[in-house]
Amino acid sequence: MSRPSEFPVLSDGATELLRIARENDKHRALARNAALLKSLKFTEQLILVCRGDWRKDLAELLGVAAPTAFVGLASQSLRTIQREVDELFQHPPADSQLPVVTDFNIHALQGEAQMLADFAWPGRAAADFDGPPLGEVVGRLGSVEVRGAWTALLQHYLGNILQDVFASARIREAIPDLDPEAETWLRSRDARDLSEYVLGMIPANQAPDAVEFMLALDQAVDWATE
Amino acid sequence: MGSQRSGVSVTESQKERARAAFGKVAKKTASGQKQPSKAKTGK
Repeated sequence: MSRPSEFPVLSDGATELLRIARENDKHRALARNAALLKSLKFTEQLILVCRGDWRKDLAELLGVAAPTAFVGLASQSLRTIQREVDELFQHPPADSQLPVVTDFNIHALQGEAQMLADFAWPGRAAADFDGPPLGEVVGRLGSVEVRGAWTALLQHYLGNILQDVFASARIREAIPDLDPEAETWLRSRDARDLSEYVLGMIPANQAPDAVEFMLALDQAVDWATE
Repeated sequence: MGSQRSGVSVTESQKERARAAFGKVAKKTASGQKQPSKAKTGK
């Protein structure tokens, strides 16, 4: 399938970084790995819990007593996702072809935390470590659409990958006059445009499906790097 | 599937390609990026 005419135009730099990530991605794990899938599914579950009887269901989802503030929820969320990934590694389903432990796992987990902070702690400052109290966090997360949360998670996931390859290629050191915002734009422009396009590939009236979302990302990365 | 190495190790030739991609734009616009383009939804 050829690239659609409406596909977003990414920067030359981001396109090359994505090509490099794809070239080194022998197992096509960038768009389909267990950590990303578990992060997407957990995000959906968390939002649904926040909309319902969260005082009862949150502890069950996290496997521990509900935390008291944002930092505890973010920490326990990542632990929950990692536990599920570990479980897949130790007891893989016989028919699963999904890469479980990949170099992209850290980007998925970091992206989850970044997405949670964007929605639950929008006015955060470096001086405050704990973040808002749990009731406030739950109220904000419960008002987020799953599709919107997935798109934000994907933007951070892609931004993390692009910035990782950028750093590995030591571009800043090689090009001293590069705009100071170049790394920021990889996330705020290129990763945003690509993640929003992926969202648009899924019909708006369709129930969120994490596997379909990952497959759309896989196709979009192919188009971006062709 | 188990542990998979992907995406982090960047070869010297890949570094050069990446630097060239940012370098040529840096010379043109001193920004390292094309002008931002808002994604369309694809539908």
